[in-house]
Amino acid sequence: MRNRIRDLIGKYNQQCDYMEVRIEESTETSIRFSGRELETISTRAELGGCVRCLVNGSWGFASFNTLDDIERFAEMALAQARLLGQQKTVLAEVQPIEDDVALTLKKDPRGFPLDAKVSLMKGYNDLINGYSREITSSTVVYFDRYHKIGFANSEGTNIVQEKMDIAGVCSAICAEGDKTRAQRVVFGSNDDYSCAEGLEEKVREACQNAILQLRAPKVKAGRYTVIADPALTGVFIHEAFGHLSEGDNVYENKKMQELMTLGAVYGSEKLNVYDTGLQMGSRGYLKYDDEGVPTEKTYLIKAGKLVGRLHSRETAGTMHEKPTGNARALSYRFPPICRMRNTCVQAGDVSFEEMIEDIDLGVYAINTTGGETWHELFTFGAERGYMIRKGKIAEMVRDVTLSGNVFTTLKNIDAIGSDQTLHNGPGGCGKAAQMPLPVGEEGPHIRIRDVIIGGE
Amino acid sequence: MLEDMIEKARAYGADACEVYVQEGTTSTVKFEASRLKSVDSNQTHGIAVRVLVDERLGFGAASDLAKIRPLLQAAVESASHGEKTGMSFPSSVPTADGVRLEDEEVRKRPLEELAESAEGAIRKISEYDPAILASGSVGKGDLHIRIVNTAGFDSEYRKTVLSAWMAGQLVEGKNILFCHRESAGTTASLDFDALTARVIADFEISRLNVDIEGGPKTVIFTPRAASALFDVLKLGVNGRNVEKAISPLRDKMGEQILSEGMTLVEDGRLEEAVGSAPFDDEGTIVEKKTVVDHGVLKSFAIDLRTAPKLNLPPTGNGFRIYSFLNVQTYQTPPSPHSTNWLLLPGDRSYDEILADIGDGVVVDVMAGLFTGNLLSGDFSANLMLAYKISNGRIVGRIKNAMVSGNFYAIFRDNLVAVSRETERVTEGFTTNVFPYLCTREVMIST
Repeated sequence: MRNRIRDLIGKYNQQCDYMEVRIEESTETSIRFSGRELETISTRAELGGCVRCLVNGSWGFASFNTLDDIERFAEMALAQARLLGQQKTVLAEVQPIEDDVALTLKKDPRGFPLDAKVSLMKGYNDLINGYSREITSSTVVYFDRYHKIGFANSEGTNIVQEKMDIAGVCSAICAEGDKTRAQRVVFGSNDDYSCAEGLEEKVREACQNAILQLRAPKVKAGRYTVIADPALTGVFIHEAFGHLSEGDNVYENKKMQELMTLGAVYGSEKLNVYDTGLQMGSRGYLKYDDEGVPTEKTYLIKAGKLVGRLHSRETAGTMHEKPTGNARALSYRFPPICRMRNTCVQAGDVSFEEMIEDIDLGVYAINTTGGETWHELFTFGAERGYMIRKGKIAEMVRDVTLSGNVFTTLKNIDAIGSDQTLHNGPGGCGKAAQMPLPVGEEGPHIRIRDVIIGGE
Repeated sequence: MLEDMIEKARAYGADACEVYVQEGTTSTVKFEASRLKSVDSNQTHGIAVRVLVDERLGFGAASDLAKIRPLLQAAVESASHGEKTGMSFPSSVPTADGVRLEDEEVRKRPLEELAESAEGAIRKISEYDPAILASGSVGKGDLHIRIVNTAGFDSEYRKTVLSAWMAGQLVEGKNILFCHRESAGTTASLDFDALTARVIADFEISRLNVDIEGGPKTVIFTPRAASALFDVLKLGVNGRNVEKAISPLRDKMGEQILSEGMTLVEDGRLEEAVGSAPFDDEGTIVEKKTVVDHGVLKSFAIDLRTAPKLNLPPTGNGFRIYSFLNVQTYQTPPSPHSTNWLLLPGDRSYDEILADIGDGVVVDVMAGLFTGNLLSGDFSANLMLAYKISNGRIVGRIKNAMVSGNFYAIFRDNLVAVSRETERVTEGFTTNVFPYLCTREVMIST
């Protein structure tokens, strides 16, 4: 295949400013229990590719899974790029790379037969369904995906990269009359099947919390001081700042550039935020992005000031900044766009006790049900919460959904804990119909003042 | 070819087998920052197999036809882990008449013309206000689906799709205003100019930000906001959730679950709707049915798998949906999915309703709805586009605020009015037709 791609690029690269070809082979095993029933076991095998051409600043992209016709699709991509091209092509310069990236796994899921994976998940499922009369159902999901991606471009880069993605969830569900409550244990890794093992204690805790949620009152609507646990901090920073840092929000948008000028103050001096492709164990680990650019640790905020953003070669080139290896595609069906990898709030030095002691009325928000961002506004959900009263954790509450505005909420982070923790779940990030892209998040406990919480 | 596969499946030990083939192409012109940016095309060919071995179900999917043999083996192997389903594949062969899914005009439309439509949108938006940056996409697609099974079903249909997503972004200081509209259909009748005009109309009423005090308010949900909220009911009537006894509607058949003023019809053969089909992704015939009649629950969405468990017939709702994007894909096994929902209109106009309520809030676009406990009906969302109503008029945009409540409580006990006007709302695979819904005592937090 390598030679065929090289020949293909050789044949067409004189007719465009830039050309790249990606071929992806993937296999997936997934298991899903629902209630007591093993609902699905599925295996999937995909083989497909894409060609992307750049002519006078406009892209033509063709994806396909009939590989025999690759030349026809290359011509299609070329014709599509020519259809619009009327500007100057700008791509940040990078060194051509030739590399073979083999997997280095701590524990390879492919070494375990399907039987073993099914019985591991069945163990959790039985644990949930047998936990108590109040637990009425469950969802237990496991998947592992192996990808082998060949990438080559007209500048001489030629990379074959293997990737592994393992993740899942064990969800305990209580239903009583009109009420349904669920609490989850999530897991994920890029290199270690053991992330799916030994979860029994956490599963029992989720069962207990699901039952407690049946009796927990809804949080009262209003503005609160919030302590977010590490898992929620990760989602918070992904939603609150990660998306806004993506270069494609800014590179052709003068007004956004004025707002997002490097050096602008976004938080207190204690706040440091970065996005990294280098964190082994994270579902966002990546050696090269889907433009063949090596990934790195990219600081977005240092001591409260904006210092960087997440670039593709096009957004970096247009803004005269350094490419960061953030151009990612969900699969061969999509062109790469600016995306996060593993996004982190860097640890500070405040203990949980110090953080909570002077909160008169607040919410301690734990775990995440996901989030969504629209420009400066963002929302993220906690799986459960506890009221904080007079410096102490008080009653459990439910339906804690928080929202904020990037221009004010980040400045309201006034305490950062020391317990930075990596969080991997089974979901992923969504943007421009490319969803769910595997990403990771990291953070410590943080305290945020004046957060809007929806509720009763 | 498919017959061979079925033979092979039998040889590997399957008692029954179903093959699902999806072929499709799409072409999309994308624009960003008010300039044409890329043309993307996609070609997909995929096969999914389901086998029954001793009533146990196995599933496999592949795009790589060279992997058919291992795919079949894996499906048969996976069946051995499953439990007895009591299900069987359908034998009756439906006809595709009565639903218009194809339009030669869509197939013939050249990419140049799609690019012109995109340019037209950019031009109109910058004529309205050059400070607004336009973005979006205009695309067309061609889909072919065929299902063959060992019970004798062998049928196929083709579908064309023309779609557009138009948006504009206006940045003024630290205020970012983003308005967008989308539409899709199976024929060439999509009116790009009208869609762009909707985006501009959204800007017209959103430019001024106004403050509002939090508290329970009278809230009008626009058709697209109402359509998004009714995802809660889609979870509620989902046969799988009923069967697992986690739906709050599990024993509410025939009972009042919404206000008497609400009648909801599901029309999986709705004219020009992208999700319409003569049969679902398991071969069950798709028909029109009433989901809620004057507030009373009338039907669940049931696939082949849940039918024997609930002892009810399948309802033509077994679709293979990629849940994150709500689009059809061979890669996912079928499960119950509601198709096009039509909430029947009331008799008052939107303007009359606005005038009547005096003060309140119009909610149009929400974010983060999915983070709530939707099975229970509890939602809490950030207001992306919402407006303050004073003295019966929209006076400005509300932001940095949330709306929350319980879907069932709001639409059973607190419905004030249903508008006469309805709108088509495209949400991926489904097209819902909804009126404006006016409700009282809905919590707005600021």
